[in-house]
Amino acid sequence: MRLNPNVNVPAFLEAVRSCRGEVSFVTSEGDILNLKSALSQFVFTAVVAGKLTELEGHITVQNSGDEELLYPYCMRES
Amino acid sequence: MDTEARLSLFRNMILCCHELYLWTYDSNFHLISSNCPEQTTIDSLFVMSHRREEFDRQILSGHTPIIFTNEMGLMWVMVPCFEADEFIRLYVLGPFFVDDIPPKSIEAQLNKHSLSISLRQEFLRFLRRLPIISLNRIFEYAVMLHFCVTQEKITVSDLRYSESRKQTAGAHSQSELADAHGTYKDEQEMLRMVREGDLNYQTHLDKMSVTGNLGKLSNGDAMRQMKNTVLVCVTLFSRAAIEGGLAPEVSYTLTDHYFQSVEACSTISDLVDIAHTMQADFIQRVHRCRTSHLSPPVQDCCEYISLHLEDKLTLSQLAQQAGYTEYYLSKKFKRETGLTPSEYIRKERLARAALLLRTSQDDVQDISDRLQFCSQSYFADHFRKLYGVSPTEYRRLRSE
Repeated sequence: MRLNPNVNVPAFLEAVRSCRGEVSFVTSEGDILNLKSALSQFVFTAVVAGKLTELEGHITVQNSGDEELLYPYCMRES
Repeated sequence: MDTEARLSLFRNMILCCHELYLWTYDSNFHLISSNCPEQTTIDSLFVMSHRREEFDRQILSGHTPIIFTNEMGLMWVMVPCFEADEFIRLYVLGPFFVDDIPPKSIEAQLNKHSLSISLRQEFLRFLRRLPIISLNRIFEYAVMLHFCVTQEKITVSDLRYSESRKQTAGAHSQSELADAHGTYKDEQEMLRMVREGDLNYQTHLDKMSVTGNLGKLSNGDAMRQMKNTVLVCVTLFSRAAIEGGLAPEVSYTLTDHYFQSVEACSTISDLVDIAHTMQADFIQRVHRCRTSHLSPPVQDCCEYISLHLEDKLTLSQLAQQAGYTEYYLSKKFKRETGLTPSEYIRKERLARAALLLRTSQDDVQDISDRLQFCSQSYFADHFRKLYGVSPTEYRRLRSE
């Protein structure tokens, strides 16, 4: 799933916190940020969130049931 | 000068010294304005650090500034603005660190993650742009910002503290960079207040510009740094209290008690409360020693009793403390206080019981047991003789 470039970061991370399983953001360079971790959230917010248009990162979820919680923050796949 | 003009001046003056930005939020915590060039990013960091319900509770529980620390040790000063008791605005100064421990800790944690060089370097560049400002300076800015918003003068002791649920090793501390230490003059002034039992210590403290730094008392663990700072203060204050006339045994017992309280702390707010309580306790006890009409041995007995009201107390123990025979101590005590030691102990236990009845929800039976009364009926009888009402009735009357 790809994040909406204009995502409301705090709301998105709040949704991540309510997910049952792990949620990761994977950048095109292979960086994996576990968004349940405070440090990764910090890195994501400080550096990644402002560049979602350029980055070809995507979200992966450990628990498929969590996808529904994150759909509102993702781009619709064509 | 209206509020906006004062805030504009304050904002610009702060920028002369630090890259520290002012933020204005509405009552729903939506950002209205900021002078920060990385507004969106930093706003996100601030908002995501809070849980809304907890945030509301903190803001609405008082009118004074709050110094907030997030999970990574990043901090902000928050000043709520009320109009006719309605919360209308939140002014925020930040973000900042108060020493280099949190950013170094974050960097160390980052090294354990397998991140690409570009992401790591970009994040570290961001981290290093965040200012490091001494906590003493932050206290002063918080007081100034509050004045800009409300035109009300407050003191450092009016500030409140709050932190995110989990504190990592990057939490803030009261130290500055390791090569600078506190002024000897300020330390001596604080110890003088303890030694002289100066009850106006709070006024003196508020006037003091607590400059300087406490040094590096821990390697990398900011909570440990804070705790060690308070433990050092406990030790210094206890010795100053002894010099001021407090009995060594009493002072050491207090030290033990505060050491244990400090170690049991898990939040900065609790630690600050303990530090304030400890300071007041030592000063007030020294004051009592110095102004008491009682002889030192009897005064020492009274202090010992006050510290052991929930323990079994015998005349033999008190005599041993005083270095007298039981007979001599009993006579001397009665002569000076008008009460025998056991009458005095009972009176103090009843006073403590009254305090517990007023300030806690502890069961009357529990209070009676804790204070070593042989039975609840014995406790209730003596309580009624002293206060005119039963313990239950006393609690009821005081709660109305």
